[in-house]
Amino acid sequence: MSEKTTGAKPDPKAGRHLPLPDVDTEPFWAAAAEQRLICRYDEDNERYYHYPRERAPGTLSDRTSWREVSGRGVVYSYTVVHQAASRAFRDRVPYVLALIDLDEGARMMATVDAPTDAVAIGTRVRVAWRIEEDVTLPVFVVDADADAS
Amino acid sequence: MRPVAIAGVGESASGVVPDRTALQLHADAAAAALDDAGLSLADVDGLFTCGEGIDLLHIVRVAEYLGIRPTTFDSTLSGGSAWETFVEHAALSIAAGHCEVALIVYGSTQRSDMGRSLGTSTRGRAKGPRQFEVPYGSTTVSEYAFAAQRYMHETGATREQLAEVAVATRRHAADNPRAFYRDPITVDDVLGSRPISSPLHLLDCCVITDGGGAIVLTSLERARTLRKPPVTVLGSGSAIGAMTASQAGDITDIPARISGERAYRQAGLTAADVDTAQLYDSFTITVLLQLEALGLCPPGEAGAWVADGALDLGGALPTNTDGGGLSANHPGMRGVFLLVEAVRQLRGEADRQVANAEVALCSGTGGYLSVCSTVILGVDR
Repeated sequence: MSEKTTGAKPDPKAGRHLPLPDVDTEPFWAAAAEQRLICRYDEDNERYYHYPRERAPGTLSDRTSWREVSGRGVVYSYTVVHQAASRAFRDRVPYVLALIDLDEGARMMATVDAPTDAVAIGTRVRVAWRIEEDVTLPVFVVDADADAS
Repeated sequence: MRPVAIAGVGESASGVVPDRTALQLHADAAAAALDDAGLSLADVDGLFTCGEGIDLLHIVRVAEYLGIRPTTFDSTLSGGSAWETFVEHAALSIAAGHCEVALIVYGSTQRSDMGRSLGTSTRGRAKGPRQFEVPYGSTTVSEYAFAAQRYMHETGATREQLAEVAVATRRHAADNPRAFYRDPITVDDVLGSRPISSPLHLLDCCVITDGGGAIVLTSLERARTLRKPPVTVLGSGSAIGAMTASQAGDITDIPARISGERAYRQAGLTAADVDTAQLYDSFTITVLLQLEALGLCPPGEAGAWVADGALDLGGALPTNTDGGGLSANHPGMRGVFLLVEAVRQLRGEADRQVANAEVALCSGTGGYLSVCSTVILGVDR
């Protein structure tokens, strides 16, 4: 609140689309800041899950931990958004939003930074990093290596 | 357990109603439904309603505004399917003798409050699980678009087939004088409308209107003494899936499969017995996924089945005969209107009447295909 403003009035809604970490999620965003993708791992059932929850969904077991994942996966479904979610996205349309099945098994929703015709169900993707203000967001890009192989 | 019936249905004004408040629309709809039943407000001892934005304790404020002090009440906020779940809960209460007359009511001035925004606005910082959705620009429409894209991929359904849902629903709306849009549209109109979140375009999306609706339930025995022929509650079921598509597992296998199985089992009926369906049509894809989940079409073929005219009057399953959310009205949540239209069909008093309709299925969906509830209604015999 003590920031000095000069010139144009700041947008009071700027940054409101960014995450507010909590005790379930703070390590995820801290790792993202180091450009590492981590997921919660259910030790009892030997499976990864996302979004992070301290206790494992479905069992409420507390035998869970953080594990780094490869950041590679495949598009389960996607959409090209033409009508922006909010002001923050007004200049980004059209953008690709996808459900990504990580190779380790967890499913994430994220943006795929790619031309709108470059993504389909089954497209291989890998994590990339987008820095917005003080947040590093995992996003995805088409995995050219995987497509070539 | 005594059998339960719907004794009255009613609607408030709908469309654009800037001169009425949301609470007035509750009262208007409730008065219409009670009058339809030939009951008075003093008969009501059960209240079922939910909503957002009216007051912190929505149902308490609605009771106060209506001037009743109900002793059975439920305000489960499960989106568009809440009204079908309310029928389930009200019927259980009445069957057990815990409640005599239940009023299920809804009213909203969503259209006049916010205008046409397709629910894509986002407010505030992204807290809780939403911190993994909002930063990516996820919208209400995109949640459904994921399911549409996946369904097309799995079944070979086409955008043209999705569009046929909107076209058939508009044909029904033409006969409903209260419908928001009544002029015919074509598949090309839908395909050529503005893209919102692929593969869904503007005319794949429901309208946003003001409006209110209400139904009154009581025991079948009492309903037989009232003004209108009773419509019996034959079966019901409700099921929660997941709030957001990323947590839903198979996103094309929606919770209506489970709620439908429970409703069919209780009714002792199958999909083949259904004469008309009122399926929540937030988007065209929502209808196809419910047809599949409820076993109302050949498996995996909802798209072709709809394109073949199944939803039309005289088709295999006349559906959303009032014009649905795609054309008639959609004031935020429209689950109550599915029940209103089904009752009118079974009484033979619909604007677009299905000949000899004896069994009607209502399927509500809430959130992003997140939660579903199914109610099967029948004529009294």
